[in-house]
Amino acid sequence: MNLPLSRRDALKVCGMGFGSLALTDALCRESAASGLPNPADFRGEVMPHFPAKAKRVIHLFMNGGPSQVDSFDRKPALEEFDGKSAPMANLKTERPTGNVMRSPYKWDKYGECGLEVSELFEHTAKHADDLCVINSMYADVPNHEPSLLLMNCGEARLIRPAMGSWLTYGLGSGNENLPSFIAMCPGGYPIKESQNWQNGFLPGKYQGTYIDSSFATVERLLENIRGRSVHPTNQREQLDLLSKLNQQHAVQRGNDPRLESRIESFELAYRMQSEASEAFDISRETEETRKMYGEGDFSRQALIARRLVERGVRFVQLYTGAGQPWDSHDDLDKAHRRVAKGVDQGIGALLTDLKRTGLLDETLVIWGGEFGRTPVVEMPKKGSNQGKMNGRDHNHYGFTMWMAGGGVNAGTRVGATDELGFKAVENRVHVHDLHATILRLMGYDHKRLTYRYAGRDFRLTDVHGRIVDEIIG
Amino acid sequence: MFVRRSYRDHRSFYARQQSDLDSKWIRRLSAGLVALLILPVWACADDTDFFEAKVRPLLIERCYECHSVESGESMGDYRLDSAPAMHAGGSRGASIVPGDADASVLVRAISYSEPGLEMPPDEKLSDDEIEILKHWIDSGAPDPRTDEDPPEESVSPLSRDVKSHWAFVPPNRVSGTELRDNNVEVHPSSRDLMDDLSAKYASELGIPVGEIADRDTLLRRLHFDLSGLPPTYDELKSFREDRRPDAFQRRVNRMVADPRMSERMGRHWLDVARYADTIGYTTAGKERTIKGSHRYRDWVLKAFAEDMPFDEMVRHQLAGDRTDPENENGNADAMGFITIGRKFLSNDDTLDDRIDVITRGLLGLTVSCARCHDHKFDPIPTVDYYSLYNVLNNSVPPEDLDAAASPLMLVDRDKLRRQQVYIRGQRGNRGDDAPRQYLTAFRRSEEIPFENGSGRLDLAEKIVADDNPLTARVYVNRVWGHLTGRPLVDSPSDFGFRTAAPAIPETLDDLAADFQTHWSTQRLMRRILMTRIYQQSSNADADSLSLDPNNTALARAERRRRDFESLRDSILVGAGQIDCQYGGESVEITSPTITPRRTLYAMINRQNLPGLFRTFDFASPDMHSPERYQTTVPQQALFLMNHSQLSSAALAAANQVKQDRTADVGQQVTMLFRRLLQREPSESELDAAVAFVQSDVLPPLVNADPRELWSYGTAKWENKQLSEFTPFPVFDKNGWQIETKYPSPGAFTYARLTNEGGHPGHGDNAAVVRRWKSPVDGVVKVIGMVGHRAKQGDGIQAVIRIAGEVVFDEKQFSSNRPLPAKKRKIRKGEFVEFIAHSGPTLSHDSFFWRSKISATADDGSVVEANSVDDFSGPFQKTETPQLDRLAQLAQVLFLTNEFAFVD
Repeated sequence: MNLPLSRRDALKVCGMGFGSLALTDALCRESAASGLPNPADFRGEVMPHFPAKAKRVIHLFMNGGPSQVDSFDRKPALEEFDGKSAPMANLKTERPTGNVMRSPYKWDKYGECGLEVSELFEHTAKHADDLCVINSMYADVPNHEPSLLLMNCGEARLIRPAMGSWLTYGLGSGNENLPSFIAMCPGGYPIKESQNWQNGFLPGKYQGTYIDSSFATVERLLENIRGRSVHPTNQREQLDLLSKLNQQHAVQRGNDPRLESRIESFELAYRMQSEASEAFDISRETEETRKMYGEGDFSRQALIARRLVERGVRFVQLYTGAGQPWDSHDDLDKAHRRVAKGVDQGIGALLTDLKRTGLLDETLVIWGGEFGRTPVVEMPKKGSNQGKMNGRDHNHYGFTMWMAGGGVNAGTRVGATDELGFKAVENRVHVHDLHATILRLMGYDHKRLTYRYAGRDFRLTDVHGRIVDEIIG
Repeated sequence: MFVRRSYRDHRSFYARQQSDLDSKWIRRLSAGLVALLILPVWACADDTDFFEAKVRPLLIERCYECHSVESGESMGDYRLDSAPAMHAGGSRGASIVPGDADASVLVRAISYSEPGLEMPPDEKLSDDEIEILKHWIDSGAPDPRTDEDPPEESVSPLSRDVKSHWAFVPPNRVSGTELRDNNVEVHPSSRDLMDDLSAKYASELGIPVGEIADRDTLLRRLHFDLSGLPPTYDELKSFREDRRPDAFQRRVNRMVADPRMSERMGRHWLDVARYADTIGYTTAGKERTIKGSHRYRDWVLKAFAEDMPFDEMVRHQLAGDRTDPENENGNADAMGFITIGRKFLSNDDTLDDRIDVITRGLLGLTVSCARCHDHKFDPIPTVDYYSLYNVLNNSVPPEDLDAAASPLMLVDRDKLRRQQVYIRGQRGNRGDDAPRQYLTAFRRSEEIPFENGSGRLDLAEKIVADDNPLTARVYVNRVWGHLTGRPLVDSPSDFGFRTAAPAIPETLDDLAADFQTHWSTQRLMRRILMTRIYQQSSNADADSLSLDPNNTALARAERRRRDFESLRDSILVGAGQIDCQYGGESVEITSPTITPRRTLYAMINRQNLPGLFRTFDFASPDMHSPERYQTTVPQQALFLMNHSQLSSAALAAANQVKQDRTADVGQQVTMLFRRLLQREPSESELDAAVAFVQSDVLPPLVNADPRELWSYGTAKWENKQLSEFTPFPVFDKNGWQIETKYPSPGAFTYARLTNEGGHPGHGDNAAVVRRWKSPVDGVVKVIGMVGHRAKQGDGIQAVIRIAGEVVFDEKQFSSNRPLPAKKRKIRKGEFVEFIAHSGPTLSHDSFFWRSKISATADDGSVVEANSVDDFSGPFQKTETPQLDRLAQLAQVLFLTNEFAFVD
C-alpha cells in the first residue's frame, strides 16, 4: 500500500481483498491449525469465533408449509383416530379445524438409522443416514408472512437482515466473481417477496440476489451479465483504455485506495461475465448428472445450486415455487404429491452429488418450510376450500426440518411432537434456536455476530436462541 | 473491492480486531501460562499510589470501553478492569510481563508497533501516556484491583446526570475574543472562526491545513454539492477567468438560491424521512402505491428552495394539520414525514417506525430502543417511548380521506385514547400511564403534559425550542456532512451518551448555536461553503494522512464518489438527454431505454426495490437512513458496462459530437472529453483515444433485441375470438395508451398497458393485449403471475393464447396467483397473447400481470422473454445500440474514476 491509512481503513481495505496486513507466515500457519480462517485471506467483516463445520449453506425452502405428519414425522395414532376427534384439546390455528385426518401416504423405514419417511420423499429418504431430522420445531404464529420472515430473518414483523445476509456480512464472499447470497425461486416470488432475502440495515450488497430459475439463459438469470452493444473483444479494449485513463488519474491523486478499488471492480466485473455464465450453465454437466436431477425447475435450480457452492457461493436459497406451493388447505393428498414430486428427485440428487464431490462435508443443507400442518382436518370455508374437507391448516406448534452435511449429527432425530404430531413436546427447537445452531455450525457465536445500528447491537437471534447440541455432530 | 463503511459502525472493526486476536491465540497460549506462573506478589502501598494516580484513570478513560465488565465488552476476550483479568490476558494470552514492558503484548499494542494490533484503535495514546504504562509494567505492574471490585462507574443511564454529556447541553457560540484569549490565532487562509479552530488543532497534530483548491476543482465540487451535476466546460472556463475577488462567493450565492439546490438537499432530507412511493407489503395483491407520495417530496423541495426556516419545517412535518389545516400553502403535505413510511401489518410496528423517524431523524436519539425496556445506554425510560406512542396513536388519517386536504395528513382522534406502557413491548401487559409528553430527561419535572389534542404540535415545539440541545446540532451536522463529505459527529442519528463529541467540539456547537438564531438552511450552507475547510484541496501529503487519518482536524477536503442520483444524472447530462422538469409524479427509471427524468423522481418501490438502487447504495426506503453506505461491487461495473441505458447514453453523447461534420477524429475526441469530463484531453490521452477510435470495430454478438418481439395494443375479444389488434399509439408516463388524454373520452377510457400490468377498456371492443412474436419454430412455455387488486367491481377476464389457441381463460378478482405453466408448439411469427377483458362491469379493472416465455427451437436453442424486463416505449431499431468506436469511447469516459469522483 502506498498510503498510510488509518488502522480502520487498512482493515477494511484488507478485508476486501486489496492489499493485506503484514502478518507473519508463522501466524498464518497457526491460524490454519486452529481451524479459523487465515486473517490475511479473510474476506468477511466478522472473524468466526470457532472453527467452522460448514462454510456454505443451501437452504431448500419448502414455502407454504409442508405437512410433517405426511413426510418425516410418522404418527401411527393418526390411523387410530382418523375421523375422530383428537384425544387432546384441539389447538387454535389460522382457520377452524376438525377431526383427526390420517396420512394418505405409504411409509417406509430407511437407512441404518431406520428413519421413517413417507413416499413423498422416497429419493430424499435414501439419504436417511445423512439427515439430522428435527421433529420438534416450533414458531410463533400460524400465518405465512410472519413465519416466513421469522425463518429467514429471525424477526416476524420488523425489517431485519436475512440469515444469508448475516452470513455473507460475517464471512464475506467465497468467490468475488459471483454474488455471495443467491435466492432462487422459479416463476416469481414467494409470499413476502424480496423481503425474504433483505439486507435490512446492512449495506445493500448483502441483499440476496434474486434469480428466477424458470429461465435458462444467463442473460435472463443475472442482470447486466452480458451487454448487447459491444463485441467482447472491443469491450476488453474499452477496459484497457479505461484502465490507462484511470491510472493517470490515480497517480495524480496519490493512489487513493478508493480509486484503486473501483478500478479493480471493473476487472472483477469483466471476469464475472464469463465465470457467472459458466456457473449457471448446466449444459456443462454430464448427461448422467442431469438425468439424476431430473426435469423441472426445482431440479434445475438444485443442480445450479451445486455448481454455485462448488464455486464458493456462501448462501443459496431454493424456494419450491412462486406464492406458497405447499399450502394444501384442501386436496392435500393430490397437492402434496404433486409438489413433492417436483422437488424430491432434485433434493435426492443434490445430496448424492454433494456427497460424491466431497462438498457435503462443508455444505450445510437445510430443508423445511416456515411451519408445518395440522394433523386435524381443516373445515371448509366459503371462498377458499369450499365444500372440501381433505386438507390441513397451518401449524406453528410443531413441525419438522432436517439438515444434512456441514457437521450435523447425521442419522439422528432431534426432539419429538406429541402423539398426533401437533405440538413439539420434547427438546423443543424454536426458530431462534435453529438459527443459533446454524450460526454455530458456521463458526459463529450467535451472540457475537452483531451489527451496530440505531444505537443497538443487532443480531440474527435478537435476544433469543439456544444452541441445540444434539444437532451438532 | 473496497467498502467505506458508515463511520457509525465500529462493530466490524472491533470484531475484526478481536478475530485477529483470536487467531493468534495458540501462539500466545504458552506465553500466557508462563506469565501466570511468575505473577508477582501484589504490590505495596507506594506502588499502588502511582497506579491509582496515573494508570487506573488512563485505563478507564481509554480502554474500558471495549475491555471491561462495566461496558459489557471484552474484545479479544480481554479485560483490563481487574488485576487478575489483566494478567491473565485475552485470546492472545498474557498481556503484560511484569518487570519487562518491552516484552509485553500490551506495550506493543499501545505503541502501534505490531501491525494488526494497534490499541486503542481510534487514536494512539500520547507519548506520556505510553510512558506511564511502560513505567508501571517495568516496576512490576502493581495493581490492587481484584475481580470482586464493583465495576467502575456502574451508573444506570437513567440516573446519570444528563448535563454530563456534551450533546445534552445547549450549544454556545464561540467568541472570537475568547478564542484569541485561548491562543487560537487568526490563520492567514481562514474565512471563519471554524477555520481558525481547525488550523490550531492541525498545528497541534503537526500537520498543515490545506491550500484552497484550484478553480476547476472548486467549481466541480460546488456543482456536485448544490446540483449533483457537473458544471459545463464553459462554466468552468468562465470561473477560471473570473478575476473578481468575490468570484466564488458569487457562484455560491447564485447556486444556493437556485431551485436545483433543493433537488439536491431535498434528496438528503428524503433519506432522513425514508421516502418511498409504496407502503410495502400487502396481502392478496392489494394496492400498494401511496396516494400523493410525491406531494411530500415536492413539499420538501419547495421548503429548501424557498429557504423555509427549519423550525417551521419541523412544525409542518409533525403538525401540518394544525399549521395549515386546509393545505392552502401545501404544508399539510409535509406530514408525509410521518406517513410516508412502511405500513406494517401491525399498527404498533407502523407507529414504531414513526417514533424512530422523529427521534433519530430530528433529535439524534434512539428512542425505539426503549420499546421493550429502558434504554440501555441513554436516559430514555420505556415510558418515554409510550408517551410518543400515545401522541402518534392519537393521530390518524382523516375519516374521509378522499375529501381530506392532503392524502398524507393525519389529524387528532376525536376521542383521545389513553396509553399505558406495554411492559416488554407486549400489548397485553400494561404498566404505568404514559401521558403525552416530551422525553423525561429533557423536560422540567414541573412541566405539564401536552394539552393540545394528540400533542403533535406541542411535540414539534419542544423539538425546535431554543433550549433543545439536540435539534440544531443534529441538523447542522447532517448539512455539514453532505457538503463536506464527512459529518462532524460520525453517528449522525445517534447523539446519545456513547457518542463522542467531534474532535473540535466548538465547530459543531458554533454552527448549531448560530443556526438556532435564524434556522435558515441556505444561510447555514453559505457559511459552510465559504470556509477554508470547504474550499481546501483534497490532496494531502502522506504525513498528514498518517497523522490524521480520519481528518479530525478538517485540514483537507474529502474526495467523494458520486452517489446513485448524481452518477445517473451526470450520465444523462453527458448524453444530452436530461429532463429538468421540477417536481411531479414519480416515474420508472429501470426500463431498457433511458428515462430522462432526474433520478430524484424515480419511483421508489419499497417492497421490491429494483436491484439497480441497492447496487448503487441508494438509501434504504425501509428505515430512516442516517448516511449512505459506499460499497464498490462488480455489479455496479456490470451495469455501467452492459446495461442498454448506458449504450444509449454513449451513443447519444457521440452523436452530439458528430453534429460538427467538419471535425476530424482528434477534434471529436477533444469534444467528447470536453463534454463528459469538461476538460481537454492530455496529449497522451488524446493519442490513446484517437488510436482507439481509429481501430476496427467488431459487430456485437447479439440475438434479436428482446423488445422487438413485443407489441402492445387493443383488440376485439368476442366469443373467444381475437380480432382487430391495433397497437397503442401513445406512450406516456411509462405506459402505452390510446391518446395523450387519460382516461380517453371514448370507449377505450382507461385502456393501458405498463410493464407490470394495465387496465382494459370497456367491453368486447376494448380488450388490451400484450403479445410476443416467436422468432423460432419450436415449443413455447409460458408461466406467470396475474392479479387483480380491487375489492370492488367484478374483476377482469384474463386470457392467454398461444398460436391462436386459448390455453388459459379465467376471471381474476381480488386475486394474486401464479399461473399454471402452459406449453404449446409454435411457429416463427406466431404469437403468444395476453388478453385482458373488462368483464361485465367496467370499473375497478386495474390488474397486474407478469409473464415469462421460454421458446425452445427445434435445433435446441432457447429464446426467453420477460414481460416486465422487456417492456419498453417506442424505440427505433437503429437505436438497438451497436456502439461505434466513438460511442465506445464515450462509454469509457462515463466509466472513468474522474467521472465518478469529485475531488
